[in-house]
Amino acid sequence: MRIEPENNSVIIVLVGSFNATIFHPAWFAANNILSKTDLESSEVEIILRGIAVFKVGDWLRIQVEPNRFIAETSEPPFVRLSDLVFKTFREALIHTPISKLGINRHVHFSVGDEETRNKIGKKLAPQEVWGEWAGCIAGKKHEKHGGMVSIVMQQVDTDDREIGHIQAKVEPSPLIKNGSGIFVEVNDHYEISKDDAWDGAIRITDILAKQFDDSIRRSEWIIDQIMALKEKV
Amino acid sequence: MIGQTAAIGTYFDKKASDLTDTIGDFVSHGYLYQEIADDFSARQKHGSNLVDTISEGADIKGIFPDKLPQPREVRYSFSVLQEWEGYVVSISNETFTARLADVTKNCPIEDEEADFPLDDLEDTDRSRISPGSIFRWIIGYHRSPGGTKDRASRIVLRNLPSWTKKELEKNQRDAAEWASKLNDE
Repeated sequence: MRIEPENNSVIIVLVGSFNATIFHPAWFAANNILSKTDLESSEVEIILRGIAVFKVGDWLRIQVEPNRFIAETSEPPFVRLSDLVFKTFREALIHTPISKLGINRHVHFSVGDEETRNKIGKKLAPQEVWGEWAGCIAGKKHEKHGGMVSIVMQQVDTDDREIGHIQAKVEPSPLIKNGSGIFVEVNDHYEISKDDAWDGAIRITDILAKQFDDSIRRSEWIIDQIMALKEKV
Repeated sequence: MIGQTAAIGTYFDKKASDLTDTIGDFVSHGYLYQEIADDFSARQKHGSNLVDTISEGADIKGIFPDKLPQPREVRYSFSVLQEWEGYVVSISNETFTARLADVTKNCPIEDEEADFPLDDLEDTDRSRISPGSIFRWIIGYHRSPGGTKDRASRIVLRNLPSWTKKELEKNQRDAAEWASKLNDE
């Protein structure tokens, strides 16, 4: 990516049926998925029936709900997160019914100043097309100007999956405080057909292992297209 | 500009999207607490024995902290310039030798070889490294919360599932089949 991100993370989301209460750092350590060092630096936020949330140092956050398993890291190499999810559901919980996988890439980056960010917003979502309302969006005073809040684009014609899509969202970054920040989220979404749902976690973990590196590379390429706008506005 | 009043991450939004989306938005603590509170109320209503030590009419609001942690603060970051996947060929007292494939360039073949000090490994990885171990090596810029930027390198052993007996048998059958085909040619 041509601009060094200020904040950078990968989030893997599985949709299926999960028993949240077993997802405790000690369970991961007992199954050799987390190390003893990881266990020592873990911090449980909530583990109750239906919901589990814990962190491991700065590298991992896991949240489990009855229908979703979410694992996040902001520390490269990101493949470490893929390995954790793969080992969890390919070795320890192979019979868990999982039907959907999302490999999400989140990046916050600065384009230098607010003016450049506003120009990029107008390039992505021109205000003129809003007709007479466009003038109201722009506002009378600079400090009260409006503009693009969120834009989402989706690719459905993909040749590496039977069902799924790639979706990219661009928004102003709430993390970068001087108004120069842009947030891009890429959701790389895979689903398996109902006919394949009988084999638990096998199909989805196969997809994860096969696609993870390509997905990250492609997401960074998509994000780079948005970064390139800095030079074009 | 961010719409401060937009209904992002509300309880009902999340409820509606839970079943379908794989977008990695963590639900808010408010949502989690609401879920717990709902669960708690339902159990009280149905007389579940799991909550029978809690007195009736307990104040749910008082259970959770008023000040919620901010999970998305800007933290230090590591920007990767180059990434390789390697496997360990040999190990000596102080170093190990590995073959490397360039992941950044999507190169599938291990066409480089390098020596690494064992001291570059984290303690956990050092205790489990052996010939054949697979690892990732990244170089990039590490930025501290104070903004200091350093060039850094990191090696992490991959933690993959063990081969199952079934998989090993299949691999042996495949290898025998390929060997037989090569002999025929």
